[in-house]
Amino acid sequence: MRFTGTVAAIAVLVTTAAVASACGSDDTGSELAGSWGEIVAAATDEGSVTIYSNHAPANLESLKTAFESEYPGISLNYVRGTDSDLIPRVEVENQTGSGVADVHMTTDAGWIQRSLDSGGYSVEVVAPAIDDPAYRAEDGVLDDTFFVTSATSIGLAWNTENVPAGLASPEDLLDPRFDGKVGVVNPAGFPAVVHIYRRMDIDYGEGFVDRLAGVNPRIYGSAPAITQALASGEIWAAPGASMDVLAERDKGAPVDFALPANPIGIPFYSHVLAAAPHPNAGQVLADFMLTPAGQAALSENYIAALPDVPGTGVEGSDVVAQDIDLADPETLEAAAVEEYVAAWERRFLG
Amino acid sequence: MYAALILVLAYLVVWPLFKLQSLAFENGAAGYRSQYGRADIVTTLQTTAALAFFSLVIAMVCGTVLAFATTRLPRRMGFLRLVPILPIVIPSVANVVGFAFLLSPGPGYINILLRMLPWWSDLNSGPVNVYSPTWIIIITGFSLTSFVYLFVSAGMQNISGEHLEAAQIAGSTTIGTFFKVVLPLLRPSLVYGAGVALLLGLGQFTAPLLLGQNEGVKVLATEMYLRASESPINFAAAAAAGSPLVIMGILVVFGQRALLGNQTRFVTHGGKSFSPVGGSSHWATAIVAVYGLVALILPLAGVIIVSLTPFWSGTLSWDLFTLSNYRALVTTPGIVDSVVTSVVTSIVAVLICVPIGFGVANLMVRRQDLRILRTVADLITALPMGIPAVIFGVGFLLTYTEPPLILYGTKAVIILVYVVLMIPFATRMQLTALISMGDKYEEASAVSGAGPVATMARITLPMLRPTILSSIALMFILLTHEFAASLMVRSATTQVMGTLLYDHWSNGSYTLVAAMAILMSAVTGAGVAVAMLIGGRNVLEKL
Repeated sequence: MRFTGTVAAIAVLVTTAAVASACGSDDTGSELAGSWGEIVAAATDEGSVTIYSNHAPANLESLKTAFESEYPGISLNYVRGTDSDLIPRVEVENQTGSGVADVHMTTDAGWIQRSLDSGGYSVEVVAPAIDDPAYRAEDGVLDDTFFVTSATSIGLAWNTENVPAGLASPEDLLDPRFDGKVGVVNPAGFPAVVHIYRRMDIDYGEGFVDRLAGVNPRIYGSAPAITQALASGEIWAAPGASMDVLAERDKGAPVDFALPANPIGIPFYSHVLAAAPHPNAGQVLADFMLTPAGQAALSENYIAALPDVPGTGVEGSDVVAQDIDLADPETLEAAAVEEYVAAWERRFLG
Repeated sequence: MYAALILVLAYLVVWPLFKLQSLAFENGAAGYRSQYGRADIVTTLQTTAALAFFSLVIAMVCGTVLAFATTRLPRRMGFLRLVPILPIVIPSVANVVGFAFLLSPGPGYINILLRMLPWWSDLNSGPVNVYSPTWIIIITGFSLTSFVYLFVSAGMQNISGEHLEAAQIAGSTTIGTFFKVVLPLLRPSLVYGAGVALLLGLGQFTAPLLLGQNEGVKVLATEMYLRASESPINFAAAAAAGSPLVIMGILVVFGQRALLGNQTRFVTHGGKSFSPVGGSSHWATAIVAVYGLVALILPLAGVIIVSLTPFWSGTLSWDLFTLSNYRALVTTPGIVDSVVTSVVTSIVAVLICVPIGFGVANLMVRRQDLRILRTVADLITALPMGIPAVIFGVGFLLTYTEPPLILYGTKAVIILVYVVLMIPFATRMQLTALISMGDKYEEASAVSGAGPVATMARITLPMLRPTILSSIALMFILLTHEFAASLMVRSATTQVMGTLLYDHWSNGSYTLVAAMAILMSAVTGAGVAVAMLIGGRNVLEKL
């Protein structure tokens, strides 16, 4: 029987080693080519590009369709997640050198600053589209790496069946009839959401967030979850909804959206990752996102980074993403965010 | 060479746990100070304890009643015997979202029906809130019922008919017999089942994660997930969060042995097998059917309805129904890949598990001389049963994002964690089969001049074939809907079905989630069908 044990042990070791090597990542290990033409050719050889993004799922799907139409030889994979989902993954991939994503899009001003300080997460973006004067690179690019790609305005959203008259101002949400019917995003792990709550106390009136806690809001993990809950009627209204509510309205869901008098703007910044397994395709995607076709797809119902892109922007305004300031990173230090979240959870979760 | 096998097992099972603990104690136990210094930690511990205790009570009562009821089913209703086991086969993620679609306070379909009742007609939400701790406990209790049922019904089969006949002759009623004879004789099964259900309840992850966020419900298992997935990742705090679960796992195993004591007191085998007095009952059919309706059919119906609509809405009409969500299963990136990844990683893990289980079972049964190795092997292969899967997930994430073996983002790390989770199943099933085989066949083979290799190839393996096939089928079923460990070790583009479903639940569309839940159930259902083909129709009862 000694032989049986030996066979089993060897089988395990051999199989484990074989599986470990066979299932390794498909890292191509390629490097950035020289001229832009060479980069595009190398990107086609790489064959695929992956973006991590917290943008609206529908817009990412549009971006995929538009990109693959422009570059039939390169398939675009997108991974939609919140900053709290995706940033740890970007960090692990950078730490292990096992990159999955080529481009990363985020709204976390604190992390962008920490990333710029470390200098290890991004490479210089060489996309020619950045040099288009219409893009206003002087306002939209940080340290030649992070570039603004879109923006959203945080606004009021409601279920049209339960709130047929709609909402005119954030104050309307504090009506007792909305008790337990308002949806808010938990800011844990979301510095951008912490920034939004702080802005609410400035733009929606002093003490607004405290008074909001008084209507016993229901808590959600992300803006898309709020949109889904609004469409289902699980909640009736939301004070910090994203513009992707408009996409759900287009599908026939009973929801609507309006910007308050002082809307809160959040820009999305992207960067090509140093651990990108497809560095050339990452640059090509970065470039495409800044073209009119890329902006029309990525920023539909959002605020574009280029002027006059059909289907984008805020009605009656020519605001572009570069006009919207990134939050002050000093206020979004990890300790400050943790302190705010703890206080918020005490107020909203008891 | 058994030592080499044990070393491999120790590396796979114990090393990630050791790494977690050593990290938690680094820098003056910074991990413990970070996790247990949180303002809400007392509430988290209380919620974890309440979830474990009350879901255990529900599971013990329902599981025992169901086990008794299935023995009294009329012959033509015998197929209902499968009902209490099926919730194990239905993916827990699909089950939980199904309950959310039914019992969401606003658009939940059952809530809408309840609000039509005169005494609730003034409500505009509720009366049930699926996101509350109470309902998370109830849903968890239902899912644990199946595990208790398995242990209790197995124990019930071992109670001899003589005991029951004696009680009947003495004038006892059915209820009296159940409480005075059946329950006391079931003590070993009840203690063992309670231990397993308690551990599962303590490490419960799916329902608190999917449902609890709305109300801020936190348990230790979800805290582990949060600490290991925030920026910057705090593995030390995650490890500290899981420590009480590891300690409880060890305590429960020892507690079970102490409580059972001398097991010869419970020997119940007689000339006749268990055959309850009083024959079959229609109430038994009703009890099993109601459980099947509540725990299986209703949540599945909720998922099906939502999967056929363009957006989740409490207001249904025929013109809303669409198949677009099913079409989206093919066009949405990652979904088909996740099915392939789930199936491939499950199959490879199972194929690795079988020789491990065979080796350990041989060591346990045939090598009485290697006492220390046998004890160590017994302990290591039992650990994954006692310790929640999420702990192994975090341990593997930590271990394989550092040199020497960086496997982050690969299928290999998913396979390795699956191997660890399935080692107890692979080992125990083959161990039981080897014990029941005895050593007469092998002695006869040796006497006839066959060497160890020939004996293994011609005698042992062919005789173990049914058991090996059954264990392969069962492990495959369990792995295709594994969620807790997978959530930790997946990468954004290497996903299994459950983790991708969770991502869409958190960040995407509820209707696509519903269609994915149906797809996941179909894949597992196909696994069950294959399992029944190769392992026999009663393969589920061997769980």
